[in-house]
Order: sequence, then C-alpha cells, then structure tokens
Amino acid sequence: MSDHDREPVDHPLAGAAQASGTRVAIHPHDHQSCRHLLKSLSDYVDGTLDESLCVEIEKHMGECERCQIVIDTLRKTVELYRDMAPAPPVPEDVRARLFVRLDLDDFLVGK
Amino acid sequence: MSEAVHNPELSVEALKAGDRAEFARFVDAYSGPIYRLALRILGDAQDAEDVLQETFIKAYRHLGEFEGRSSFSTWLYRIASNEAFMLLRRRHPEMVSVEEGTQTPDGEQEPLQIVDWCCLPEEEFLTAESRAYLDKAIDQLAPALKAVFLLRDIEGFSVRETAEALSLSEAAVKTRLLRARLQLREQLSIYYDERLRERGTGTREIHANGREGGIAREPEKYEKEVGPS
Ligand SMILES: [Zn+2]
Repeated sequence: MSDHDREPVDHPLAGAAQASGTRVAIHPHDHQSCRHLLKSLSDYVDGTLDESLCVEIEKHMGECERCQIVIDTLRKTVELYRDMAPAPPVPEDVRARLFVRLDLDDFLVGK
Repeated sequence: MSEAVHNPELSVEALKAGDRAEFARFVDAYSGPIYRLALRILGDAQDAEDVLQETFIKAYRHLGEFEGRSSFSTWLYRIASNEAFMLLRRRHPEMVSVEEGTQTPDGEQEPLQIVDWCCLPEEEFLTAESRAYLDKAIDQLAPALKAVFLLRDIEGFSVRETAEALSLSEAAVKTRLLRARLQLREQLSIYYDERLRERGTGTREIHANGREGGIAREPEKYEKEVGPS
C-alpha cells in the first residue's frame, strides 16, 4: 500500500497538482478513467446518470482538474444552447405558400 | 419547453375525420420545429420549404394509418426527418456516410480544449457576436449529430421523443448527443478562450495551471522614448 507514493505519476495533472501544492499520488489515476467517464458526461450534466456513477464522477473531479474543466464547460455549453431561443420562426411567405399548397388558404388569416 | 411535442389541444380524431380548421391549426403548431430542422440539415431555405410542404402533404395522406403507438407529433417529425435526410442524400450524396456519425465506434473524441471559460462575465455570453458564433457552431456538426442536438437541446425534446422522431434507439440518441455536445464544447472553448485573452485578466492561467498568468507587456511604452532626431 505504501508503495503508492514512491514513484511520481506521469499525468497531465501532475503539473497542476504540484503548482497548487496538492499531492495526488495516493490515488494515482491514469487517463483511462478520464476516457471511461467521458461516455457518461452527457447524462451527468442532464442529471439522468445513475447515482453510483455520479459519485464516481464527482470523486474523479476532485482529483482531476482537467475533467473538472471539461465537465464545467460542457454543462455551460448545454446551458447556453438551451437558453438560445429556437429561431427563426417560419417566415410569413413560407407559411402562406404552405397553406396554399395544402388547400388551406381560407385559414391563412388566423394565426 | 417543448409545447410542439405536447400539444394537448389538437384532436387526432378531428384530423382523421377531415376537419380542415383543425388541420390548419395542426400545421401552425408543428411548422416551426419542422422548418428549423430542415433548414439546419439542408442549409437551404428553398429545400427547407420543400421538406415542410412534403411533410404535411404526406401526413395528410397517411393520417388514417396513424395508430397511436407513438405520439402524433413524433410521428409527424419522423416523416419530416425522413424527408429532410432523403433530400440531403439527393443534394449531397457524399454526406450519406456522414449520417451514421463521425467517430470510431467505441471511442469518443478526447477533449482537446482545456480552458475554464465559465468564469467569464455573463454579458460576454449575451453579445450578438457570441450568439452568432453559437449558431454557426451548430452548422459544423455532421447532419446526424445536428438533428439529434437540435431536437434535444434546442427544441427541448426528451431523449425518448428525439429517438422516436428520428427513428433511432435511445442509446443512439445519447451517443450522438454526447458527440454533438463535446464537439460544440470544443468550438465554444476556442471562442471563449479568445474572449478571456482579450480581457487579459489572466483568469485562464490561474484556473488551468494554478498560477498567475502573465499579462502582455505594452510595447508602445518602449517605443515612446524614441523620438525623431
Ligand atoms: Zn480526469
């Protein structure tokens, strides 16, 4: 067990962890888990992911700044698009031609 | 959110009985999402209009066959997405393979842009330029990803409604949705990273590397001293 902190872990995280003075060598994780979690991120930001996987992701985020940033920005991306109003509405002339084509021109006025 | 999906006031019975006023209301209720989907997939206003018209003509003809296994609206969207992809294949035969998705079967594209831009002030996300960029980014998606993303995240369909509307399994919807979102995240990261740099606050460096970012020196200070001799 105590072998864990013997070797430095070669991970993109290592630099960030050193700079902020945190040691992450106790539970070294490789890129494998980041890649593995990637599949669940969509469900995670939608809040539809299994409880156990959520716990796994949140634990990983605490150890991996890279994934933390990916998840935060993914969530923000979805939010920005959700807030975007669906545009454009059907243009008036397109609607008019549609009604004519469907023999509904007598209903064209009321919208 | 998706009133077009759950429109309780329309009567399928009246439609089937040939009630024209009801059909007109039906057309107005669903034209928007159908037109927008077709416009995005085909990228051409005339093609989108053709899809819109064909969809309602087919729906009218096949009303009698609607059996209520799916909701009426997803049945309609299924006709529309079929029409749109059929026309896309005709217009751009080279895109047929793209329709199946863009990535390898068992690997997602690894995130490349690791920049925390969430901390940008809210006003940065509200500019016309920012909105135009978001809009343009959607058009970079492969058509199959685009359709899923539009229905789910822009029109507000549920995963299940999206699956039914596009004749896909829910698993396929989720896979494509993830890919679409990840690709958009990459694009937005590039754009908002530039906004962070413009602001020159160094916020990005603090977030990404845990250290203070270097603020660019102002070269004009050094040039100032050199006067004409
Ligand atoms: Zn990670």
